[in-house]
This record gives sequence, structure tokens and C-alpha cells, in this order.
Amino acid sequence: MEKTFTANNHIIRPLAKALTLIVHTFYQKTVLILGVLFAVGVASLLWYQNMLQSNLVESTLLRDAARYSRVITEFRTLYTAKVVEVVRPHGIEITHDTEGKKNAIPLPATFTIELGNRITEKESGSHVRLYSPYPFPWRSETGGLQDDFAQDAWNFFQLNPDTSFFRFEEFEGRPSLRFATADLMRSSCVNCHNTDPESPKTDWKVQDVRGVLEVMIPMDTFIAEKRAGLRRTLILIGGMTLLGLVTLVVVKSKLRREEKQLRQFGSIVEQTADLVLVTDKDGVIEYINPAFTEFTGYEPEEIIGKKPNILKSGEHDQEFYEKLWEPILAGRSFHGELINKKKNGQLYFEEKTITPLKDSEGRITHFVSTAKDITGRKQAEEELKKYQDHLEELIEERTKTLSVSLTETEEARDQIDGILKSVADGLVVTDLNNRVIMMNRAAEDLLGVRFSEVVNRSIDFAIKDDTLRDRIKLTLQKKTTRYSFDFEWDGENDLADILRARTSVILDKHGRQTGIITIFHNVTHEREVDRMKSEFISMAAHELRTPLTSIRGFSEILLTRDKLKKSDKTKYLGYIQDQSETLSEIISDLLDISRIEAGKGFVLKKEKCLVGDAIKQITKPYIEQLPKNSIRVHLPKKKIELFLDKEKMAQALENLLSNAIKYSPEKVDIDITAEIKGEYLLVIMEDKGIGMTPEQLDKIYDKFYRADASNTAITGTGLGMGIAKAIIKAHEGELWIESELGKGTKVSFKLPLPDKSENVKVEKNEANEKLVSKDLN
Amino acid sequence: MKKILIVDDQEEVRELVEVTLNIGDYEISQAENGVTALEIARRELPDLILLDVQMPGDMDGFEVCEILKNDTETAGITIIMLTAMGQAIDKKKGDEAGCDGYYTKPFSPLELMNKVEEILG
Repeated sequence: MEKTFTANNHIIRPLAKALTLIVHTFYQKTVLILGVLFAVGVASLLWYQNMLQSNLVESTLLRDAARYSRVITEFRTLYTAKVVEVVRPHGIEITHDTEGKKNAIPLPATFTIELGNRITEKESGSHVRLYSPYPFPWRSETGGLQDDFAQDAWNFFQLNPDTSFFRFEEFEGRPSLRFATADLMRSSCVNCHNTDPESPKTDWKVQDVRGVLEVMIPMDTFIAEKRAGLRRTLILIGGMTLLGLVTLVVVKSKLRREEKQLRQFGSIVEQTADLVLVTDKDGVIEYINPAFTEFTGYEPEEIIGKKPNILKSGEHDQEFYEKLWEPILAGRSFHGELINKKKNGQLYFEEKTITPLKDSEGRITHFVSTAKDITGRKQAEEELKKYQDHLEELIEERTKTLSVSLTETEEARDQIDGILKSVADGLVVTDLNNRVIMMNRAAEDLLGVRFSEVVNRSIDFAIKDDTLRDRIKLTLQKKTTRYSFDFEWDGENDLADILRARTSVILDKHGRQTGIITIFHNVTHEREVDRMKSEFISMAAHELRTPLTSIRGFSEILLTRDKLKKSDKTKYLGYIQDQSETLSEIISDLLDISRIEAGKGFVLKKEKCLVGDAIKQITKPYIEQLPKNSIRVHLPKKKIELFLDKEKMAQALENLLSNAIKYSPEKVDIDITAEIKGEYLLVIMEDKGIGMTPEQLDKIYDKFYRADASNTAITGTGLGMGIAKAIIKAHEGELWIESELGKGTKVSFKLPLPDKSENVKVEKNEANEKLVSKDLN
Repeated sequence: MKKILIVDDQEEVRELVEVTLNIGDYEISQAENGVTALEIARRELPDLILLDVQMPGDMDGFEVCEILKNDTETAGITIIMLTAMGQAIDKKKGDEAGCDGYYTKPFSPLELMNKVEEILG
């Protein structure tokens, strides 16, 4: 709208302003102005109708009156000519008073007056009168000029005898038309009038105004009709007005709403911070809003009529614009970001929406472009992106670090978890409500339950044993107490295991109690070892005391008895010496076993040794002592020579043999076989003794273990088998035992034969033993 | 002449005890296991038995002691345990078996001699 006015010169401008003001006022006071106009219209209409009707009534009345008047006049003329003139010569009296007279007819004037009176009587309200200022004496009362109208009419006719005179005025209280015509003196009448003795005037001339014929018609019925008509019209107009007003109000309010909306839209477009630009269908700019001007620097007059490509920044290629226009020309909106240029050359980012406007037939008429300056946002985004990139780097770095720590933590946790899970001791963690919250594999095995079955369930369910359960509960109640206790646990194989449990309170870092940890392990074996230890002690004591008894006893005898025979003395000293040796052996055994235990092994003093001879030497004393054929030794024909620690090997053999004999209480029946098997020397010692159960066999190498501890007759330290095995192992050999309860025991060991490298060594160091070495191979 | 029975599975020990006691005027007999010891004790009714505990066979010294002490015929025999088992628990076992004395090996021959003389008067 504005552009139309801003386009041109200064003269039009004030006019335009005035027009705008009027239009504006009109818009604002529409109802009032229309009301006034309407009222005027209605008044005019009513006035006009009134006037029209009045005219109509008057002209009708005038016509009626004129007709009356003419009729009456014609009638008198006719009466005069056809009646009076005809009868007069026949002696018919023509008089004003015909009452009681024969052969008399009324005078034309009298007749006319009579007629008038009749009409007046018959026609309600109408009067017909004939009067003059010169009445005959008989009519002096009723005749004459009785009022103003009569006088005025008389006067008027003196000058204008040929026209009529009329007035609308009140007569006898009713609005009436008073219509008068002049009654002229006729030639036939003048004579009489001038001659009649009673005539008030005798100088009449023909065509003199003799009198006035007045016809008077009341108007009130017409006026009432007219008023009724006006009233109807008024009512009609009133109804129409009301209808019109209602319509007006409705239309007005609608208009007002639309106007408000339009004004809002208008002001929105005008005031919005968005850059609004409207072009016609050819892209010629028709409108820009103030924000556009303010932002780009282009005034409307600079840019209207031009095309938007003056805004092009050159940052986008042709393809970009083609793509941009593609949806718009297809009738859709474009929405996107682009870079444009201000008047001052500065570039700016805008977020643009271009919408095609269409007419009712769908043809594009305009394009509306609205845009937001997003340069700031873009810059911020740029900044943000930089920051983000940096942040991403940082995050990546941190993530890496974190991931490493996480992995480490996880590993540590898994490790701890793994440790806890695989620790050989049973581990049960319960919470403050005595519910199981953790249990490791060992605990599962020991308690015979699965963690998954008892997790979050009460220990009453998880733990069968009353002692353990009560202790855990008690620990919880007493809070700081630590309990360590043993209890018997009925294992699956009916053998009661001894478990040692230790309960402790778990405290968090604030020192609050969070639960109980119970660690337990199977101490059955330890108990057994304890038992064996104490047995060993008594055994060792016994074993040591036996030789000591002889040593002490005989030495005391030797010292205190003077009269001893020399042979006795020798014998007693022999006892002392033997027992000293036994003692020494026992001590040596103990030392060996303690070295084995400490993992030190043996220091071997290897030397050439013929295995057959060694076996024979060991078995000899036993064979001599025992019944014949108790011990049978089977040796290969070839001599076998090995590098051995003679003393240790003898000890091992002796241990094995003494065991075999010891556990053959009824009858000693032992086979000792030595043979070459591949690269090994295999030695087997088989007895037919009491044998062992698999359980006993399992423990055979245990320190101090004696298969039948209750049998006090079978003496020994319980170290023998362990020492023997250790000695064979020290020689890089292997020892194993097979046994069956009640049938006997078979102990086997193998020793490696010397290989070539050892042979070379042998050849070098001991050249004279060459042949022997060869024999071995 | 008082009778003494020496019970021990080890010959050397029996000899030592006999040598220790043979300077006195005693009639000494020996047994090498529990069964033999019971047999001799019942037959000869010795005044004193010096009884070893650990011996081969089905019967140890404590059992021999207990049997003899529970037998009215042999209950009067003084029984002294002479054993290498020197722990308190062993001595308690001896008491329970009803022995009159408990000597642990190694022992002093002089002391044993004095003790025996004291018992046998």
C-alpha cells in the first residue's frame, strides 16, 4: 500500500494523507456515518412521500372541487336555459320563494343554493354555497360574505373573474379545501337583477361578478389515510433499518476482525525482525520490510523493481540456485541456508524460506521470502565446532585413558574376582540380614550347594551346619568379634570332614558393618598330619629310646660293675656300638626327610656301582635272618654298572625291603627283580604282605605316615618310603607303588642307563673303565 | 627267692634288665611277647613283672597288665611298666591298666635295681 504513495511527488502526498485520514475515519466510524446517512435518507423519503401524498390529495380535491363547481354551474345554466326561459312565457312565476305557490319555480340562484344545501346535507362534511356581498333581503341572514375566505375570494374575483380561488384551511374545526369560482352575471339574468325591487344592487352589467360559488371538501379523511400510509412506510423502513443495522453490525464486526488480522499481519511483517521480501511471479521485487532495509542497507526505493540477484554473494554456484528454485517453481517451499551480500558488501548467512503465493486457480503470482540472519549463529557454530573438535580430541584422549583404566580396573576386578572364586579356601559373604551374597567355587564344593541356588537367600537355607550358621549370626550380633572354629562336616562320601571356619565382620570405609565374610577350609588333612606328627614324635621317641636304653643301660653297667667278665664287657660294648649306629641312622633319616621337606634334595656322591652287588649286599643280612627262600633276588646275567650314590641307594633299597618285611607279618615272601627295560634299569620288589587300601596308598609318601598306626608292633619312623622316593628321584629315576589290600604290594623304580655323552665322560675320566661302560650298552 | 618276670620284645633289653638285676637274689624269667608273658605269669606267679608296652603280636603291655590285675590269682603281682612311651597320656594308660609303677626307657640300671629292691624288700 505504502509503496504506491511513496513512489512520487510532494503534491500528492498531503492529499493522499487527507484521503487516508478520511478513509481511516470512515473505517473507524463506519456505523455512525452510515447511521446518519441512513437517517437522512429515511427522513427524506418520509418527507418526499408526505409531500407527494399531500400534492396528490390536494390535486385530487381540487379536481373534485372544480368538477363540483362546474357541474353546479352547468346545471344552473342548463336550468336557466331549458327550464326558466321555457316556462317564463307561460306565466309561471319565477320566485325565490315557491313555498305554497302554484305555477312557480325557483330562481336559478335560489335553485342552485338549494342544490348546494342538498349536497351539503347528503355529502357528509362537504358544503356548496353560493353567496355574494349583495344578498337578497330574504337571504340576508344566510348570505353575504361570512368569513375571510369569502371576502378574499370576492376580492380576488374582482380582478381575476375567470380563474378559481382556493385555500386549504380549517373550516368548522376540520381541514378542508375551499374552492371558489366566480358566479358571473349572465345576460339572461341582468335584467331581472336590475329590475327586481328587492335587488340590493341594480346596476349589474353582464359578466359582472355577481357572487361566489364555493365548494368546500373536508380533508381530514385524506390526511388520516395519508398518515396511515406514512406510518406503514415508516414501519417498513424501520424494519428494514433494523435488518440493515443487524447486517451492518455483523458485517462490521467481521470486517473489524479481518481488519485486525490484516493489521496484525501487516504490522507483523512490518515489525518482524525477519527479513521479508516479496517479488512478483517474474522475480521483480515488490516489497521489502523495514527489517530488510535496516539489515541489508537497501531502501525500498533502491530495490523495488529490481531482482533479488543483487543480493548474490557469489559464494554459491549456479547449480545451487537451480536447486533452490526447483521446488519453489514446482509450487513448494524452499527452506535452507544461504549466503547473501549486504549493500555495503558484507556477507551474511541467512536461514531462508521462499514460498510461492498462488491465486485461486493455482497460478503463482508472488514469491515471499522470509529470512533470518544467522551469521552470528554460524560464527558461534564455527566456534562451537572448533571447540567441539578440541573437546572431541580431549574426550578421545580421556576416553582412551579411561578405557585403559577401565580395562585395568576390569582386569583387576576380574583378577580379584578370579582370585576370590578360585581361592582354595571356601568363601561365603553374607549381608546384615544373613543372606548369602557371594560364594566361591570352593565354598560351593565344601558346602555342597550352588551359589545360584542360594544367592540372596538366608543362610538357614544355604548352610546345613548349625555350628557354622550360629557362629555367623553370633559374629553379626557381636559385631567386632572374630571367630575361628572347627566343625565337622558330613561330606558326601560319609566321611566327616573337619572344616575350619573363620568369620569376620566386613566394614566399609566409614567403619560401618556391611556383612560377614566367612572363610573356611578343609582341615581334615591338616588334622591328619597333626595326628601323624604327634604319632611321629612318640614314634621317634620310642625309636630313639630303644637304642638309648641299651647305650645308657650297658654303659652304666660297664661303669658301675667291677667284676664283669671280659667277654661280657666286649659284648656290652658291641651292643652300645650297634645301637649308636642305629641311632645315627635314625638321625640321618630325620635329617634327610627334613632336607627333602625343605626342598634341598640330596647331595649325591656318585660313584661306579654294580647294581647286582648292591642288591645282594642289602638283602644278605635279611636273607640270613629269615627262613630260607623268603627273599628271592633275580638279577640279569650281565653285570649292570651305574653311577650312583651307593650309600643313598642302599638306604633306599633297605627302606623298601624293611617295609616289605614289616608289612608281611605272617610270612615274608619277597621277590626282588632287576632288569634292563629300554633305556632304564627297572627294579621291582614284590611282597605278599597285607597290602594297602587305595586311601593308604594315596598317603604313602606322606611324612610320618604309617599305614597302620594302631599296630604298635610295626615300628618305624614312617619316613622310609618318602626318603626312598626322594633318593630315586635324585637319581633322575621314578618310583611307583601298586598295592592291593590283603594281597601284597609291588614297589617299582627305574633308573636311567647312562647315555652316550655320559659314556664319553666316563671314557675320558676313567679310561680304564672303558670296557665296563661298553658292557652296559 | 623272689621271682621276677621280664617282658620285652627286644632281646638286648631283656638282657640288660637281667644283667641289672642278677646281682640280687632273684629268680628271673623272660617273655618276648604278651601272650607268653601271661602264660608265664599265671604259671609261676612272679612277685614282680617288668613289662614293656610295645610288642609284636595282638597284645601290648597295657592289655597284659589289665588282664593280670583283673585276675584275682594274678592281681597281687606287682607290675612295673618299662617302656619307651614316655608321654603323659601313656602313663595315664598305665594307671588305668592298674600298673604299680611306670619307668621310661632309657633307664638307669642302678635306679631300677634300687626300685626293685625297695618293692621286693
